[in-house]
Amino acid sequence: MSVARPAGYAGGAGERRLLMLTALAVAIGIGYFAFQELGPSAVYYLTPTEAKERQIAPGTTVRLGGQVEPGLTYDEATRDLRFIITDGVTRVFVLGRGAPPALLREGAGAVVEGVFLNDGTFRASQVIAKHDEVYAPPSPGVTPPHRTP
Amino acid sequence: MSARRAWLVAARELRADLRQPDGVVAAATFMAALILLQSIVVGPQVARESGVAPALYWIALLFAALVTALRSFDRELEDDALDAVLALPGGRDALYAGKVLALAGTLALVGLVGGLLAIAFLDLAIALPGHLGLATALGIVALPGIVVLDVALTLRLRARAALVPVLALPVLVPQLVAATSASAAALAGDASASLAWSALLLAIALVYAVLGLTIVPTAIE
Amino acid sequence: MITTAPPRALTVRIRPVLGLASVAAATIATAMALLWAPPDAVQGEVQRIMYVHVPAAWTAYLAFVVVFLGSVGWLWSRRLAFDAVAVASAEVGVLFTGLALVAGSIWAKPTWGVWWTWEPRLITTAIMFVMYVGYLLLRGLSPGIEQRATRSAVIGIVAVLNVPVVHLSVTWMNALHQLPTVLRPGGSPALDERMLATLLVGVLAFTLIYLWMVAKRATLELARSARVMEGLR
Repeated sequence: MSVARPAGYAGGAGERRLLMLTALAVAIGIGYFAFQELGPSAVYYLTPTEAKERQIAPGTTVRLGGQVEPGLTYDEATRDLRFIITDGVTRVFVLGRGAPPALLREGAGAVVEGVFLNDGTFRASQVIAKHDEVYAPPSPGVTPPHRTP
Repeated sequence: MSARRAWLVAARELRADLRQPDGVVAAATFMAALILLQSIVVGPQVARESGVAPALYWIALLFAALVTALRSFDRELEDDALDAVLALPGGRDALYAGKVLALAGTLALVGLVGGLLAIAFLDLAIALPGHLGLATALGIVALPGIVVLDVALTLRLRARAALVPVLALPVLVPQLVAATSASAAALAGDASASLAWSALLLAIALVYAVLGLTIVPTAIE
Repeated sequence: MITTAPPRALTVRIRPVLGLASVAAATIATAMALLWAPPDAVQGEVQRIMYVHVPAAWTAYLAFVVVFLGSVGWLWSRRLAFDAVAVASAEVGVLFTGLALVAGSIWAKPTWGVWWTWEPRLITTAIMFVMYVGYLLLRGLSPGIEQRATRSAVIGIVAVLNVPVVHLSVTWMNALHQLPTVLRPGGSPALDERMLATLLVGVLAFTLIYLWMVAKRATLELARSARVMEGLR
């Protein structure tokens, strides 16, 4: 059975199209404003400032994203990882366990998942290194990192 | 299509459901069972968190919608009435819109039952009940469009019970995320976030409503 | 009238040329990616996975847009050639999306530190993958050539909305996956010229492979439909 083209509407086909286009325009408008309101904080991680503003309670699992400040330390013996994550306004002291990902370095991005402790430090159960979208060859004379195979 | 004809279809569905409520009762029971099960399995402590409870609720409601929708065309198919309805001018659109409205109506009832149950079981503290109501209403309106479209699309296929979830779930992820986030924000007391997510949910629902109505003339056979 | 006979030009002339061009381009792209392009200052050699991951992703986008066009084409004209191109493109698209996900995961472990995480780009890509697997499942369970084509066309049209969402997701919200390096609004590509050149050759290679596979598969599909239609007459 061959399906015919959409059944002709008894007048009002143009009206209907106008209605649909209006609905679409309204939808796009609403969506745009909703996005502006929500901002980039929507789903994956909060910046330290956003976490502070929302007063995330100690013990609630949350993800923070930001830049790693100079002063990252990792102790092989105790497997303690310590560093500070910042968004330029708020700094959070992070405690992790286990070797950090190869790309975790000072000045680069990181995303940590875990809980705030009562004293405001963050105990991370997962530490993820974030790298930006810029790719460049190493400067002459510098060998690229050996830890990445 | 006229709005009136769509209303007639929806009214017919609801009247039939009133006469024989087993379908709605089954859906409501299914919803209650899911809420119970999820809360137990996840652990009531975890389920009470303002981010988790809405997620459990909306997933349960989605499955209740699937269960209800899969049966929604059975009446026409049994009576061989489907071709007669489709033959009317604007018939496809009216049938689709009517079924969507009817499913939304059923979901409103099922959602109410499930929601009250969840609030009671989990002893949920609701900071913004009005916002929660808005988010729930918008979500209930947003879900049926895609589900009914997929059921209509797979009408004469034997495997449609398996196909409809596979086709509908990926498309419904944005609606689910928006509804869950709007509800979670309402529970936690974040009014602006709740309204923003509800607005986003409305926008998505509108886009898919337009898409559904445009495509449905070709989809139903 | 619905034409089902495969166009002669496609089968006889273009496909072998496409095949040879694909092999040539793929060889050159591989050589460039492994030997000529410089390593990344931050990531080292592992960054070379980009030359598989990115072209696969872009070609998948292309494939799904073609599925949309084929779907619209079928609904509009009732010519099975459009449906054949749609299904062929969907199959290759699913393959390349899977490849992009796997390559991305392999790239993620030594760089991010995890095989997978539920962040916007990964989530939306996984959803897109499932949508088109659903498209193929629907086709597999649909009897009747024309009904199958119509059903698939509806899914092909609904699902394409996801493609721009996948690409733009990282610009809309906080994400782990980095912002677009090449396809970005108002900026020149943020990578070394040799890397960009290698990437573009990779994209060319993947596109040629895509075209060759779609041509082969679409022709096969049309031949099958023709046989079925013959059998029905």
